[in-house]
Amino acid sequence: MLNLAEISARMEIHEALMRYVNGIDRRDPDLLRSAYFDDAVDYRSYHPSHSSPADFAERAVVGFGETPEYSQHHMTNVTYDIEVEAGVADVESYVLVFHPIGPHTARTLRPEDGGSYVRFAGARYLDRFECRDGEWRIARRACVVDWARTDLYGDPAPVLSEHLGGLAPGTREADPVRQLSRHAAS
Amino acid sequence: MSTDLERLVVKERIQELVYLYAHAADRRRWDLMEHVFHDDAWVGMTAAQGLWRDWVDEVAQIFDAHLGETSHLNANLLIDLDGKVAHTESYCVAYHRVRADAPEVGLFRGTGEEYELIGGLRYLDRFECRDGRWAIAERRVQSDWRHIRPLAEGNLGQTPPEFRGSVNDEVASRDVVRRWLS
Repeated sequence: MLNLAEISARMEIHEALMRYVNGIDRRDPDLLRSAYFDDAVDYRSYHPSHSSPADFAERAVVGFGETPEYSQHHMTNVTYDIEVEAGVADVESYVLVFHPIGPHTARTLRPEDGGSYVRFAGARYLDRFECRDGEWRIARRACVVDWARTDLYGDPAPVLSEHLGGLAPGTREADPVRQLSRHAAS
Repeated sequence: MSTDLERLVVKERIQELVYLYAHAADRRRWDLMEHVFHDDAWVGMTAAQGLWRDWVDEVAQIFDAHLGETSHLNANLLIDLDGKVAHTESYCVAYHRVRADAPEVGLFRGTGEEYELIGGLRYLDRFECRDGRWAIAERRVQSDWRHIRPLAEGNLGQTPPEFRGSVNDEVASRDVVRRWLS
């Protein structure tokens, strides 16, 4: 049966997974990088070789563009194989992704994809986590895409900031999650 | 029972089994279902119903004949834990890619064209702890919505094979279920 040390490790690993998705959706490269060790490697289909966390964070944040173009990464199933004593874990996490693609996200597009589409995808992160100095972070990440779907925006294209009034989603400190946080600078 | 910590451990185990089921189905690692169900467990869903071993044989055949990629994404999980029994509701968004050559019968009936069936559903489970082992004694699936569309995968077609999910991947995701396989 599970013991508390393993559950504690799971929670810490889960927090790192959440820092990653919050970092990407809020375009915060520092938060994104905090899910990884600095010497980690990240493998993606749309990049010719593996990346460092610093390179990946830069590419992801610039590649997704600024709001109001949203992205959402919904983490769902997470399966862990953890060796607590050894400080290593293999982790599979499912993610449901919604994000726009268009000229502003040209790094992930072919030139002929000039329009603005919404992309909906199911993917899995296959991660090697390690615990170093008491902290669990990603040492190696591969992102595998199981399926995807690309649709044109409706007409007119949804502009979330018009619908949401004062609570428009934003990047980094401009997002309500930061503004409303009790940790926000007063 | 039970202390708060014991309840926490049990809930973690129940969540783990909900996820193990999804992994087993999506990767076609049907042997893993041994860990999800008790021997006499009953399963009921649109595609097949019955005692779990009969059910899994039928589902495995349906998946082989009808489906490409599937992806079972589990979201909300409510657990009512009462001693050695737990009733749970788990939400799931289930993606199914139906093959062009699928037989023209059943839930995933073939049309001659590839298409997607995406469903929102809930698993209503009764977990039981028998001889110290938690597993599902009964699983009922209720479908809340279903969406069927032609495939439109955009630039996923340009993704190299090693970065696309594979139903029978022998290596990529094996490590995360290593201790269940051994």
